[in-house]
Amino acid sequence: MAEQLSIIPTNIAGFDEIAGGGLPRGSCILLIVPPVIDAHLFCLEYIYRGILEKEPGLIVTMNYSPEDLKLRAMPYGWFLARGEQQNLIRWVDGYSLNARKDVTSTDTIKRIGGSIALSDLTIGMSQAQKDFFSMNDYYKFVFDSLSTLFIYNDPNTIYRFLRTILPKLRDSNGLGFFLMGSGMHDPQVEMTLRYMMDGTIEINDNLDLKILSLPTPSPVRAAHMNLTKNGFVIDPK
Amino acid sequence: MNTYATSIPRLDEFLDGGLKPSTLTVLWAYPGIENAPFAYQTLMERLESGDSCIYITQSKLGLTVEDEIRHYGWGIEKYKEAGKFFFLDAYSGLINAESEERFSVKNAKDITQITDALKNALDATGSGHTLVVCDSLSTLIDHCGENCLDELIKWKDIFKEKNATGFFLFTEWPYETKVLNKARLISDAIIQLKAIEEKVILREFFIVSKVSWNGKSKEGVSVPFKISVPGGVKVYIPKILVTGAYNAGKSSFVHSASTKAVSVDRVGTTVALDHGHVDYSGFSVDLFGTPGQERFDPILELLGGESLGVIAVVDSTNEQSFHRVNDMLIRSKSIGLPVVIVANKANLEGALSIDKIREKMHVSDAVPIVPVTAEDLSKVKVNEPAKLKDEDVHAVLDALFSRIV
Ligand SMILES: Nc1nc2c(ncn2[C@@H]2O[C@H](COP(=O)(O)OP(=O)(O)OP(=O)(O)O)[C@@H](O)[C@H]2O)c(=O)[nH]1
Ligand SMILES: [Mg+2]
Repeated sequence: MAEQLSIIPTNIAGFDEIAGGGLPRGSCILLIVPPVIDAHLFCLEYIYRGILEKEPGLIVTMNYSPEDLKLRAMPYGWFLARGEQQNLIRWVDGYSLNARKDVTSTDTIKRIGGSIALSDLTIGMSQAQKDFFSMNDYYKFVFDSLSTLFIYNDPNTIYRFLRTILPKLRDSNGLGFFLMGSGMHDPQVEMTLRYMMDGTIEINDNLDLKILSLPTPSPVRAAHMNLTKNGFVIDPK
Repeated sequence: MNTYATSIPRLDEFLDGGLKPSTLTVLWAYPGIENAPFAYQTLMERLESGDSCIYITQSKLGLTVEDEIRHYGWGIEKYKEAGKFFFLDAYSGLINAESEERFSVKNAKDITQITDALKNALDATGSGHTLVVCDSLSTLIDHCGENCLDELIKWKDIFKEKNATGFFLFTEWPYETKVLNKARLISDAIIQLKAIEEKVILREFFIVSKVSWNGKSKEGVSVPFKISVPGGVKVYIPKILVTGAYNAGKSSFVHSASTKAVSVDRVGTTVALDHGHVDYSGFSVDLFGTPGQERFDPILELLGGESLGVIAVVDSTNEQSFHRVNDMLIRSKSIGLPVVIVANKANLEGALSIDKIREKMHVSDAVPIVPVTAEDLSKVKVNEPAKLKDEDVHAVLDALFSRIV
């Protein structure tokens, strides 16, 4: 029973069925997605469905501004502003300042200098973890994306960064996804990242989803994803 | 010895005055802890004292750094306009952008290019002293490789030649031990920023772990801090207990010391607690005042936990109440914590002298007893906290702070 309790559903239609009920607290999953797929939508839905359950959510965004992502979520009925009003969302924004947008940090959005500012990124994540600690005993997170970090940093720098933040995410009972573009990296980089994470899911150009590994035993290992007007629906194959 | 003050509370004492000319001091942070505000605060202090400042940026735009400095409430513009503050941009090149700064390097992965640009920049600052902030030493290692640490030894010679001092940020990523050791070796002084972490970072503190120029090591004294916006680095003491017998003046002390204070459930006497926030002398402190009447003693037990120090208030005119303090310290589990005794109502008729109080209370000379009086006797009202003299209140806080950190 205790085991079961520590698995948190994502509430994304069909996903929990193939993932053995959801994700355990303190699990970091690598989500390998082709660059053409709007994977950030999957992330936004994941966070939004958590907000509906009063679960805090952390969004690290390196390729879009939080303002932009909030707009992109709206057509699906995911009103992320609601999560901000309830003080449940924290953003770490590594995009806006580099794009020279005239914005500053707020209580819910920490703006950092860009993908090289890994210290500031870690600080932003730690602050969110501290805020969440007094709200709930776990939280959800998404990191979009690791690939952006690889454009500007040496792989060893990123490994050191991950060796620092992964234990912090696990210890603070975070559960969520690290996005990574498929076909963009050296196979060795991909293998190293898979090794560091607690599980890996791969999606292809046709929105076929394949579970390569997960911390929970899953009966089905392949599925197809459909993006409907209310969000993703995942059909086991 | 000539040193350059940082204005970070307590830090200058541990550094024997401040940063030493031509040396390299490193703000060595555990990942997740903000070290940049320490550098911002120091560079503002130096600029205000007439020095110049060069900020080497490697992970963000100069504009972003300026915004952050402004965020803490410090005006950097006038120094920029006066040519006293400028950036050495070792970032734009990395993201293939054109630099807008006066000094920049094309290839920030080549440490010798940064060295050359630094020399040029230091030539532009004139003969006065220049603080060189580097953000950061860890990014240098990440981009230029660990061999850049050898180059930094040359930077120190450049500092000597051009009248400059280095203040470098560093994040302790899991580097190889030999890299960390080398970084420690080339640093003349190290200020470590650490965390008490239990699932998440709960508290932060700094320790000066190396000061090559004073010969003596003061390592071990850790100073809890928090970064306030605006304001910058403050020594942070989350809880001081203010206790003492009924009617001694506990509420008066909490209200007089605090910038903001509330009394919960007060009906002439304190029923629940007084809470006050103190912002004084670079310290950010929360005071918790207990009730005095014995019928509220269960509250005392609740309030006691996790205090970092105690202010014990006694009514100097009421000898009979003295023994009560000890009992309260035991009940609040505060025995053994740093304590200062406030001898309140010290100018009233019948007030005992400090020596007499010490004798009657059986406290050792090591415990400070500070006389305190109301600011204006004509304004003192029954059943209401009195306003105590600022200088007296400050003397109490000074005595306590120096015992805690
Ligand atoms: N003359 C004089 N009166 C003081 C001084 N400090 C406090 N008082 C008065 O002493 C009374 C008690 O002060 P409080 O600060 O309420 O004392 P307390 O220790 O909080 O009392 P309880 O919470 O009831 O235990 C009030 O009438 C104050 O105005 C002082 O330094 N001089
Ligand atoms: Mg009182």
